Amino acid sequence: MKISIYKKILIGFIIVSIIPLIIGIFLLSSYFKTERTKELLNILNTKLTFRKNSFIEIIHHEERDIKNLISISKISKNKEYLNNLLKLIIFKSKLIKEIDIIDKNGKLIKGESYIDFKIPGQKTNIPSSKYSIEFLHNLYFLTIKTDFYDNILLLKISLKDVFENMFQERKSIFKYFIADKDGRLIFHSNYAYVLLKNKINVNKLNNILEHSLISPCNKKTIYYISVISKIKDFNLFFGVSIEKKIAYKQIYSLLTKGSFVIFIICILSIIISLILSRALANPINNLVRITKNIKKGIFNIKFPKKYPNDEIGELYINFELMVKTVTNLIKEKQLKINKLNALFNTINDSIYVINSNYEIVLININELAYLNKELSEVIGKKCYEVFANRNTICPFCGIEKVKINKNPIFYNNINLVEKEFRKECKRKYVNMAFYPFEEDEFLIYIKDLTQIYNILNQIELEREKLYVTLHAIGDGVIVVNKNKKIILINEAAKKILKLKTVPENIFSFFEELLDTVFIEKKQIDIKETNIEIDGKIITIENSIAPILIKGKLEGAVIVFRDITEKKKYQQEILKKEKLEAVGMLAAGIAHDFNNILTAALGNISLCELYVNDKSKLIEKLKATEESLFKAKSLTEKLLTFSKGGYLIKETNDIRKIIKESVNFILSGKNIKVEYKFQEDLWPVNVDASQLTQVFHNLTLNSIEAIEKDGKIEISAQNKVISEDSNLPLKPGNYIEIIFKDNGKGIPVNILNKIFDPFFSTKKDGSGLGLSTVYSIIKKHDGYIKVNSVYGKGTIFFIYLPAESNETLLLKKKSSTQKKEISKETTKKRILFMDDNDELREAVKELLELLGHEVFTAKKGEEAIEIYKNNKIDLVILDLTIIGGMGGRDTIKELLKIDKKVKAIVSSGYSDDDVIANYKKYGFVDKIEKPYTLTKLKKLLEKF
Amino acid sequence: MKKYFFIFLLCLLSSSVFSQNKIYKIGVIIYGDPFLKSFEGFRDGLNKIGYSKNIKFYLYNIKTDLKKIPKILNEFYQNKIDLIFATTTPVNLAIKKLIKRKIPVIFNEVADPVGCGLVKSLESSGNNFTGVTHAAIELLPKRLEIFKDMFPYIKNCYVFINPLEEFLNTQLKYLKTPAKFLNIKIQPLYATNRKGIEYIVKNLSLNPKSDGIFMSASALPMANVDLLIKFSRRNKVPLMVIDNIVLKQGGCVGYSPDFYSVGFQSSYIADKIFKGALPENIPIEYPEKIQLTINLKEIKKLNLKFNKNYLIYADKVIK
Repeated sequence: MKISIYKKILIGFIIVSIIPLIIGIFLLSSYFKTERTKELLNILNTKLTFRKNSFIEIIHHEERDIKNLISISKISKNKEYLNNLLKLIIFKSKLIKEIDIIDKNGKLIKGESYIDFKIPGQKTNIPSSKYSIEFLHNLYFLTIKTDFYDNILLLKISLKDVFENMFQERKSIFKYFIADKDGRLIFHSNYAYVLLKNKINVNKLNNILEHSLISPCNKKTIYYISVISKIKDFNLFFGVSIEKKIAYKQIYSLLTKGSFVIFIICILSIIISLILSRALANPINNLVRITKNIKKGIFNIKFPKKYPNDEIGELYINFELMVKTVTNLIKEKQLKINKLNALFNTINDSIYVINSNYEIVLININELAYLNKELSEVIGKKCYEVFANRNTICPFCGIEKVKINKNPIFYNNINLVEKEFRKECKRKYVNMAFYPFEEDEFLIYIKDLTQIYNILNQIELEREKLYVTLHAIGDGVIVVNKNKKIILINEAAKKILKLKTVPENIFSFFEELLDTVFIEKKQIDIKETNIEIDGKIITIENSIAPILIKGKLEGAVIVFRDITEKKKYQQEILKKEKLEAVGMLAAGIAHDFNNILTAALGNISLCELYVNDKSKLIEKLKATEESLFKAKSLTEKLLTFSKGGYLIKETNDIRKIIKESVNFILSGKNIKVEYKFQEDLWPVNVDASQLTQVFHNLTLNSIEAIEKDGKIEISAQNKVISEDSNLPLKPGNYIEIIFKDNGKGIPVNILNKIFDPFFSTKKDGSGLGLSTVYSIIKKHDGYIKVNSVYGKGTIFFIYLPAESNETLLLKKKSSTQKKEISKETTKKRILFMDDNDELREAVKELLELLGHEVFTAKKGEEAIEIYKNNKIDLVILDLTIIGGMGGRDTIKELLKIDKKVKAIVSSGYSDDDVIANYKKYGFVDKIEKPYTLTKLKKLLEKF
Repeated sequence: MKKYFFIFLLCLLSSSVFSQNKIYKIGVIIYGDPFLKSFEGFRDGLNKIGYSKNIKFYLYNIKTDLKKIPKILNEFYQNKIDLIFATTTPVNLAIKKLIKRKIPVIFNEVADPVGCGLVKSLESSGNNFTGVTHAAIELLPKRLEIFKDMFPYIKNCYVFINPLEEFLNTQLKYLKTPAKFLNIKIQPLYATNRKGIEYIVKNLSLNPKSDGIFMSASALPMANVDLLIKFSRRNKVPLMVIDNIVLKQGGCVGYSPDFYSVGFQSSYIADKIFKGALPENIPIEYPEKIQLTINLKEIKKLNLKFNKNYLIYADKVIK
């Protein structure tokens, strides 16, 4: 075990100074204690003797007094005197508490007690000895037996009183105690020994008091020096003692002081040893600490700034120089090692350093990572075990050769799989180098080529794929570099461009496009381009894409195909389709017209027959008129479908349109109709005639679908379309019309075709009904959709843009005012212009029938002339005049003549813009051909 | 190093603290002014023993109002009293009934500690009480003897007795034997209250040549001692009082423990308790000194003949 210099100094101090001091103090105190004990025992003996003698003296004194008194009574022989004497003793004596005179038989003759009434004749015990101890009234009494005449006198003295008088000063350092012959402690001058139950073995009292602990009150423990002496006559033991603490107070004081001195010396020793250790041990300890640190490899040592000018200082200086030299050498070496290590571990290839037994001495981090092992797992193991999981040396190992030649050996492109090395290993191709290293050590360098091999294989594969693909596809592919030199061209390109050899530069027809692609660096798709190849024009569709590698233009890929034949084919198909469509349309129109014309011709024929029967004639003429209206309706349908027709929109109540149109079609049919219209339904701005057609067609569709017990339910309500609605409508207010029937419904497979033109499931259907409906709704910026369950019925949902009620009210008011004005108008001077002679004459007749004065004109020029020369109230102008000025130009001229000219435009082409927007052109109203007398009359009433 | 130095300082400090003397706190309950003498004796005794500097008294004179005791005891608890010194039977019985903590009690002026139920026996109280008995019952025969010796012509001794008191028979039994030997006839006068005594005092005539009045160790005659004195004076018969303290008012002779002496004697008991003795282990002591007091003034007033020797025997003569 090592003991530090500091401890040695401290122990030395203790041995030299403290221990002798302690021993000295103890020897001295022991000597003083012995001397003091002797002295004390003398004192105690003296005191005890004194007290003992005092006690004997007191008792003898009392006894003597009584004897004297007795002798007086003996002389007087006066019994009364004796009584009075006894009483006097009892009342006046401080110690005598009872006097009894008894006969020799123990009978009480006379007795006096300070507390008891003594009964004469009472039997009393006669003590055997002269002095005896008696316990009475919880007090100890000393009974003195004396002869009195022929009787016995017993005196009882209270021992407590005696002792308390004797040992009045209880604070004395000397403690007195009295015990009886049985060991009962009768009195103790200080402690509560006088407990009845306490008994002390007197023979051992001395030992008890001196050596053992006495616990008078079961609590205190005090050591005594005691002296005990027996008073033979009284059978009492007197003792005196002194507490050791008090007895040896001076010695204890000396010991305390001595201890304090030792303590101070201890402190001083520690301080001195500290100072000495600072001076001596600290430098040495420092050197020890430094050497320990150096041993641990810690060279960052702080040396003191100043050294003592002694041998230790010199040692320090030399030591510091030595440490610095060593530190620098180690630092340099460490730096080199660190660099080599860094180099060793930064190499991305694998390095093993092995000894001649093939045991791994060193391995780099890259190889450990590859092996997924810790350094401790591989160091010391055979290299072939770790590297190749083998039990024998690898077949391609060059170490043995290196051992012989002492030169490095290189093996390239080692296929580890072929060498039956590790089939499952990731490292399949390697370059290996074997170098002689340190003495008896070798370095193995392994370059993993597996990844490079894999990439090369992949590239080769991709290249092959690309080549095959390029030459297999029908489209021409040309790859050019950024100098527009052809790099690659496939067979298809050669074929399209009729190339026998591949030109160096790109063709002129691609050059312009290539320039654009190179500038914009974006792909360009050209659908059709005509190019001339060998004098022949071919149409190609091409696409040129730039080749960008990391954003840098490297060239372009031109992909093109010959679409000359394809285009021709498409044109043929289109032509064929058009012809088919016209055919279908013509057939449809012809069919309907034939029906209508048949009916009209039939009726006209009947008119001839009923020429004399006016009523029948009118009936047939009306039927003819009806047929002609149907023909008109058919032409309107066609116009609507052709998308050329303009809408003549007016604010209308859709309910009225629906009711009128549906009721008209359903008249006479066994089909119930039920309307559910919202009360405050918004008005709509629609072409009423076209909407009427919509509901005609829908109703007809339902009639055809319904087989029996038919029912049509039509509802209309306001609907607000929001932006998030699924319907393809602009957000706003709409009227939603639901047209529902319980017919056979529409099969699912044709549901999406029902709005196609000419699509019909009926043999004689034109296929224009629902497509017309779709067209009209679309023109109104509305939307129609259909839901149908085959066998149960069909529901059409129609959405039309709504107008607010306020707009409707305003329009109504305006209309009413106009009506009121028109009612006031009477006969007018009317100029009627139309190029049709029959019509002109017929209308003239009609107007004249109505009471108007009529001027007619064939063309606009005539009309202008008439207007100039006559006062004309109203002008009716045909829009289209063959070979003359039409309504459009005529009104312009008339307006020049008279800004307030009232002109009505008339035309069979309702889709003409002049009809749709007549006000814009200066007309006050319009009338569409053909028109009836009633309609004309109603129109004229307005003006 | 600092640690050792700190321990050393701590040792020095603690030794200086523990070396200080303990201050003993003593709670004192006095029944009335006359009993202050007991306290004085007790205090002087403790001073003599050496407790003068480490004693603190909490003195309460209840002036016969026992209702104050619970409050006083609470104050004792708060002040962490070490010992109680209490005078008279009612005070000690009240303490015994009310005390909630095991504080030692030294009693004085209790006529019959066993008879009144304060302690189990004189050898051991069996509880926290100890003290000096007033030995009122035990002294009855001695007191009768002194009465007869001082007034030898007395043949009838009239004794007021409360028939409801439990130790009535004990007292009569104590008096029976000495009366026989002294040739005295004990004439019990039964009264349970003041009115009863008044009636007797008013209506009973005694013979001054042969009669005397002897006070029993009973609370009733003690409480109505004025009537007894009146009775004695009216009939011109001597009155032997139960306690010397009565002689200040009247009565001819008394033989009883002195309050001061009993208090003094009690201080030694306190010393034992302070030194660790348990009260139940300290026997109840008899009075070391019993005082004979003669009221010569009253004797002369009543013009009574008496044994003049007693003037010599007496510890105190009231002139």
